[in-house]
Amino acid sequence: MTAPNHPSYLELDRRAAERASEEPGTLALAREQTTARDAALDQHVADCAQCRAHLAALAEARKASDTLPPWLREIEAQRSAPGFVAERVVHSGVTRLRRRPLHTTLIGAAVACAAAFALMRGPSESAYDTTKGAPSVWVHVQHEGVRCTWDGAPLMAGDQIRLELAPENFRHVTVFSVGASGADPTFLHRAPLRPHARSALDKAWQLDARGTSERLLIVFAKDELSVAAARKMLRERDPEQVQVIELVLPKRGAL
Amino acid sequence: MHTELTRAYRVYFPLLVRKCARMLGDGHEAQDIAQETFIRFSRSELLTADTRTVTAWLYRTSTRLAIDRLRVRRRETDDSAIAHALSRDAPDHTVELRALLHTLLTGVPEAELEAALLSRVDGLTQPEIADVMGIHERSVRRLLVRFDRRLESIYQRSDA
Repeated sequence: MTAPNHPSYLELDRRAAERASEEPGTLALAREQTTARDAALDQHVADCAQCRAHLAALAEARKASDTLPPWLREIEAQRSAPGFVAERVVHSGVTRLRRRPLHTTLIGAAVACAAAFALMRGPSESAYDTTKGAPSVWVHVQHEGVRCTWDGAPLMAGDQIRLELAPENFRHVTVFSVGASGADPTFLHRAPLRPHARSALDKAWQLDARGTSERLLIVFAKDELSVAAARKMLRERDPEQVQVIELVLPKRGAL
Repeated sequence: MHTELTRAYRVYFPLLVRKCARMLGDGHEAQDIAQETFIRFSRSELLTADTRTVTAWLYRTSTRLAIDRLRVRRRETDDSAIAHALSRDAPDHTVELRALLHTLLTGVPEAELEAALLSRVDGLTQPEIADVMGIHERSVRRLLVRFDRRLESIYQRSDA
């Protein structure tokens, strides 16, 4: 299907799937509704041994797949159980984003702000309070090519995250990750910040499949810190010198 | 009795296996990735969606999972099929192809590699790639041009 005149495998697979989905009773109607594009495709297939072979192989494989294999039976049982909720799929596509109505966008923005406020955490405060002058963090997630602000939902291995910071009067940030064992935090990134300006870090991270969550420690400091000094500050957590925001990002389908 | 899942398995799994075999060869890895993709699909709300939406999602997800798999196992020796498919001239020098694949898997951004796989391995047109990846056609063009330049410079380096 690499020759210019061949349809793509996607086009052939779509056609095969459409045909395989047709119920016997609706076949005649479906045939009547065949579009000109489908007709051209069918004509090509009739004349092309390579494309015909691809469709024939699919049809052959389909004959052998009338019963579910063991690895799918469990999911079948889960799907039939009461209370089963299908997983939401993040639809990609700029066109979909363009079609999103304004009120949805506003609700999304409100959720993002709420998430950001929930993330503001001073050393002696509860998770949902903050004090004036405390820095804030937004987590931007790229899932299957679609970027959005993290809304608290579990992330998946392969998702990429980027942090956007509003440092208030802090001038430097150091980011650490903490493993499940709670051992010494691993240094990830450090960068200078412009006080009272929101900016995204240059660095993004891809989530792996290990563990059930990612725990990040974001250390805001008044002055530039070496990694060793940031670790020390992290232990001491002097509120005059540093503010630490801890993010726990739950992961779905993790190993 | 044909449930939705059985119907979907019958309609989509065969094409998924073949799609994965194009990327990974006819081994157990292709079967693994096809299964993993289908399991994700079967737990999702897409099970009853229309064919176009489902096939786009299956292509996108299986391509990304295959790239991940290739990255994890890039040091193994059975990856030459994908490099062969990615190379426009498809030369027969296996050693060079493995070196090329290694470079591609470590140095190329995921979106670029994804667009290249969809274009070179599956023969998708630019509008089809845009549909599958959920990006603008202009972005697809940009990704493919960048990928071609990258390949060119890799070949120039290896020639030198």
